[in-house]
Amino acid sequence: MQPMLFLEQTILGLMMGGIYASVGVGLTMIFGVMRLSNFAHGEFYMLGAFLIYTLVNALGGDPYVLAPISAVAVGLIGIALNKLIFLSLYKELRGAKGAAAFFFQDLRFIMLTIGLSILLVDLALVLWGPIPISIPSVFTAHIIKLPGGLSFSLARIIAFVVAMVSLIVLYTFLMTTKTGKAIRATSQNPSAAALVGINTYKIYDITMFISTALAALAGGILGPIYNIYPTMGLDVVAKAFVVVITGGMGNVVGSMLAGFLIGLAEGWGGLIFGTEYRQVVAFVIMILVLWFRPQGILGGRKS
Amino acid sequence: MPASRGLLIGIVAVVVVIAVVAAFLLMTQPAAGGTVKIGLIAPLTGSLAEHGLDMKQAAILAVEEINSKGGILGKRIELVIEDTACKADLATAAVQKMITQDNVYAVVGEYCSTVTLAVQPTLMENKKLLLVPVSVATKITEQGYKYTFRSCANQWMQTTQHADFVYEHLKPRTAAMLGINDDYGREGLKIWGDRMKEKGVRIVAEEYFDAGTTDFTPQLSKIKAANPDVIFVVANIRDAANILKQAHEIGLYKQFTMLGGVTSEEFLQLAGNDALGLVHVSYFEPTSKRPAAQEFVQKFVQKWNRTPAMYAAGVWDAFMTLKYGVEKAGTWDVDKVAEAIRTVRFEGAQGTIYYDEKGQAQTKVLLVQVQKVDGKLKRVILYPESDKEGEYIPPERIWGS
Repeated sequence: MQPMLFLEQTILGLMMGGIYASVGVGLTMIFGVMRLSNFAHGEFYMLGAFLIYTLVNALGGDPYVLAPISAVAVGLIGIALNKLIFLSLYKELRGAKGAAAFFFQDLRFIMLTIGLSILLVDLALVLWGPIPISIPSVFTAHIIKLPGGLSFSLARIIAFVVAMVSLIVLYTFLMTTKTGKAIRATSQNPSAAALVGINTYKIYDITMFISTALAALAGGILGPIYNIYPTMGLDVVAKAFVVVITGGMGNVVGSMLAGFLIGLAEGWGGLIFGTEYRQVVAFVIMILVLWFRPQGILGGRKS
Repeated sequence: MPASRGLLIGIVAVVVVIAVVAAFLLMTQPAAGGTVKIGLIAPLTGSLAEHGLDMKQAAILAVEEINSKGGILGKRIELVIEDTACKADLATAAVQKMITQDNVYAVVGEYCSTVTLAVQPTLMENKKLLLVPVSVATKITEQGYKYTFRSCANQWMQTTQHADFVYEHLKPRTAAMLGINDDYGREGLKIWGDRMKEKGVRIVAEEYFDAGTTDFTPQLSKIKAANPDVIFVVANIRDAANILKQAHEIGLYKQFTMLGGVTSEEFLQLAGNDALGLVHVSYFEPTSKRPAAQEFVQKFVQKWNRTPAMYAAGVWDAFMTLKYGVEKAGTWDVDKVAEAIRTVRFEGAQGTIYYDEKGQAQTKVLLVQVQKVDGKLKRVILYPESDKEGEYIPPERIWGS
């Protein structure tokens, strides 16, 4: 195996890992804070990409410039959905089990989000049609050539940088700001957080916003690299769950690490075992992690 | 629990009686007054929906065309469309419904070979004609089913003609192969690889990817490292566009050649300039000068305001096969129609169509290259000589060496 091939795959794997990490982090936050497995998470990723497409058509301009607008818009949709359909279920569950045992993983939540996923895919099918679309960016055609025959498109580098910056911003936000601390407190113990005066329903809204906006941002920055289509979310959500489980459910830093780990492993795995087994690599890692560390690589240590 | 068991037996008995009566009523029902139902199964949702759309639009157009000219033997055609999402279980259920509930005369479909193979036995047992417009798995017509007819070139015909063309015109010494990890991709790579090896071409890489993959760089990196003269790819339009984009991104500018899965305007829009230079098989080109093809394209564009892809042509020809077969037989009797179809010969969208004993249409394949003509991407026919529109341009001349 040529060393250049490995280097190329290491770089590409890490770039892909950055995207896995930002999709996975959103999913794990929802799980950690709201105790909810959001099976519609991939559809927010898809919505982010399609909104950019619509914005590019309506306003003109480069998809990378418009990506933050679409991320915020999808984040607001996330809040609206949270208030409209999830809130009554939280209240019902909290009332039923008592404040101390806010029980999660309710079957109704799972069915609700699966239903939401199907609804959003079909909505996209009606709004944008089944034919895949590509959103050209001025950066896609810029190929950066490195010595040794390595080359990458500027678009991919931008996607990686945006994913990294958003992850660092999120981490700083959770660690240093008051709201970030409240989110962490709610994730550790919702009833205790409520006792010290944290409005947990508001925290849920904020978490939902961050989660869906991150997914939409990932979808948006990938749009110019890959093409976009209504079922693109379904292709990524399974990988996002692998990231969440590998990183330790609800663990933000764990998901970031797991995202990179899986991106890298997929790149290398393709070279070592043959690319037809590449999709298997992520799941094998997940199974191994569950075998030796059922709580995930950073599980048990909530952040 | 004797009481509940009695109740259960009672319910089962009632259900059985209803089912038997219903089946009897449906079977004795005459082939409905003045109409005949024809089923269409296609992936209308899911990742292959763009191809299903072509099939559906062509089917509606064909039925309108037939009905506007008085139907077939005086009977109007009624279309029953069911979505399969390229899933065998959904398709089997859809076909069951078409047989028992709709009492269709024939079924046209489907896109995915796996699905066609899954529904084929059921249709054959129920003596329903199966007109395969798009699925290319060679096996479909090789199994000796009397009521199966395929109106497009099969995988073997497409792939060997493609390999021969590539060998003669591009003169490669080494080749790499990249295919979708299903029976379409695996069969394609096997046929192409064997044909090339026979001619002395060395296969330096053989890679597969799963449906739904977005990142092809591991496969492409490996191929780049193997440094082949040509790269043969079997993929649908979405994957193919990604493959070309990402290949150029990592600096892989070799000659790409593909099977017929990419013959559509949508592919050119998706892949953009990255499609330049690509050589691929096609069994229908909207630019074809044949009158039957031009007529089909005109009608399609008028009705749907988009250019038909070759899948649409396959469906159109499947419906025309049925029309000419029934008309030649002079009856709707399935056995006589199946016999008649083996002897029809007509001008379809894809050219002159006639079937062999096994029900495989003997159609000619076109080889095309994506080139820039007047600043726009266009598929230029390179082969056969009778349809030739331009000369092959090697990748060095397009991308620089």
